Amino acid sequence: MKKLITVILCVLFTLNIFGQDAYLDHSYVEPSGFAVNDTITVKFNPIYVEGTTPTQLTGWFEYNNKLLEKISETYYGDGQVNSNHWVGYKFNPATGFEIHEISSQWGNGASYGVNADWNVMSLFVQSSGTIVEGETFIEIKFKIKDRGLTDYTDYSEVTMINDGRYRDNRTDTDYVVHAMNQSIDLGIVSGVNAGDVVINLNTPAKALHATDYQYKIYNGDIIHDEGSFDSNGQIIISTLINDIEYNIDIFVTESPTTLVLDDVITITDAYITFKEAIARDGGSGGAPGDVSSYFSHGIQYLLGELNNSGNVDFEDSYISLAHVNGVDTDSEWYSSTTNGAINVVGEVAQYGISTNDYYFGQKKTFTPTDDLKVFEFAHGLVGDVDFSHSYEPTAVSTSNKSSTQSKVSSRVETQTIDIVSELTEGKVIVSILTDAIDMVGSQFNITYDTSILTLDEVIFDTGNTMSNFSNHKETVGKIWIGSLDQSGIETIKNGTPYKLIFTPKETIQNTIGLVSFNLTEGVKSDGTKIKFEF
Amino acid sequence: MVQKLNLNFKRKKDMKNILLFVGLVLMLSGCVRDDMFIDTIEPPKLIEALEIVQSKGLKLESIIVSNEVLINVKLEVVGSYKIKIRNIVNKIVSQEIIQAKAGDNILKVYTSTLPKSAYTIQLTNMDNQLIGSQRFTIKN
Repeated sequence: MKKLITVILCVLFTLNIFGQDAYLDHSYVEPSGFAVNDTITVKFNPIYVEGTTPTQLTGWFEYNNKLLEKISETYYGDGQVNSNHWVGYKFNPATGFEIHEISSQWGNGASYGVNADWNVMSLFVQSSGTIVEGETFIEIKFKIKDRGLTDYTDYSEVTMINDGRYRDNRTDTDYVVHAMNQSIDLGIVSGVNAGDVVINLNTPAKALHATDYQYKIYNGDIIHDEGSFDSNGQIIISTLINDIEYNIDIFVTESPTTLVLDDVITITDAYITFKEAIARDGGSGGAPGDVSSYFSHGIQYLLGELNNSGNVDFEDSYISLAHVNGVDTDSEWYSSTTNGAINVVGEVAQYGISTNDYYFGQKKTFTPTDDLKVFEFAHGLVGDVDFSHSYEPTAVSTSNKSSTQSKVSSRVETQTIDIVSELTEGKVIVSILTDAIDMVGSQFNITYDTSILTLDEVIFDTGNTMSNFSNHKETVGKIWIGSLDQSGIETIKNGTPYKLIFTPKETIQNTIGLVSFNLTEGVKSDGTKIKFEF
Repeated sequence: MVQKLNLNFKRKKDMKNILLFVGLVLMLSGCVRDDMFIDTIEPPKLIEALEIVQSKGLKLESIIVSNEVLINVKLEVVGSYKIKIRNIVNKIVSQEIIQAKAGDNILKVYTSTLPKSAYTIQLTNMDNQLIGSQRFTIKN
């Protein structure tokens, strides 16, 4: 029994020694921290344990041709060195052997199969004497390719030593060879293409006007990309680099094709801005229950700032109402056809929440990574406090008064109205008929054909205490009429509150198309926008 | 030598006879049937593009319009009706009440106040029940 155990131990000891004859090592020589398109140099060298004296080395390895591109190879040493190269193959290891036992893989059923992602190289070194241990016999240069254009998620295994043999030709001794560093891991490689990065525009206006929105993406001060959003309000860009912080600017184009900037601020915006001004003024004239703030979202303090004074007050309200009445003031700080779009932009999660870094949450940066490819950006237009053309934040600013949170400004409801023209006794009569409930404000933007009609008069029958407004620009054939009780107490009288009378300049049989309605809107006392249904 | 026409009647009796004869001729010529002098006035022919085969409906002369276009509003019953123009999102941008006769009513649609776009023109009764509809586009 003792003899048997001794024999077994001797065998195991022998095998252990035998298993550590030699290694084939490979590694890159440059310091780590690579970027796409960098060149790396991979060196190969043998490592021996004592007593290993090969005169002939054979090593086979493979590299991922999607991640590396072979540039060149350089041979070293006194012996003969040679290599061969096959494109589109990958090692199939022999079963029953450890993958790192490359001499066991050799000649025991391992094979190479077709694989488009990998290339195989064989390396040969032959010398009359023992090949010097530790000395590099070949260096191969590779260029690092962009994995962002592939399905690979990292550079953790760009090469692999497969099989090989060390032999002393002088004694026909074969050694057991292991891969010392079987594969190369390049670690984090910068400059990787981020693939398809999606930027989503968040604004209710995109439903009809998405292509009127444009973007510019900056890498530092340099414009990386620019263009228009598609009809879904989306950009898909494939030229961004992972882990780089970009800036984005989103804005309405200078000449929108469908978005009418004069239609952004309406009677609802004017009413809400008045209510905020009244609330800030101590609630005088406001409805019962008013508190020191009427707005429900922090971003409204920016959207309602029409004169850039730093506060939302009556001046902003009157600018808003003047615009509704077709009168643009000197202020350049609100969105209109004259002023253009005054854009407010920020990442959705931050939009409306002021921090030291982001004024009203206008965080315009984004950083694509392997795990983050989709970014949501909100857009608003100054003046649009009712969020008809602006993203209404889901996040609530801490600066908001909790007592106002129930006032959701983007509420909309539909009420019936009828606007008809009629040829009566030689006059064209346009009547606006309504039975709208709780309507404290209204706005009707009307266009007429000045070559055929002359406006005689506008007749208001809105109630004795209602404030009415009208404006007529004959040169362009536009009429603005409406009413607003800014306190929200008086409502517009039902029936036919507005009537326009025109005289035809020529004989006409009918009127259809002579008078058209561009914008019609009402507002309820609680700030709900009324969309009219004919 | 130029001869002058001699209009000097020698006798008053000759003059009377001539006037009597002329008066008789004029009187007789006035005694013909009235309808010999009255042209039968044909109703203006409907432009072929506006013809509506059905008993009621609406038809535009052209579906591509610049500033104005003719429209035929054909009805079975005289009365008040509405003509509406709706924009691309189905919002009414112009509406008229007309007093129409039974049969063809040739009207004019004025489009110079409307932005270049596509529209639908509709004919309804006063209860807004649709009688006819057609799409058109404005080419400015």
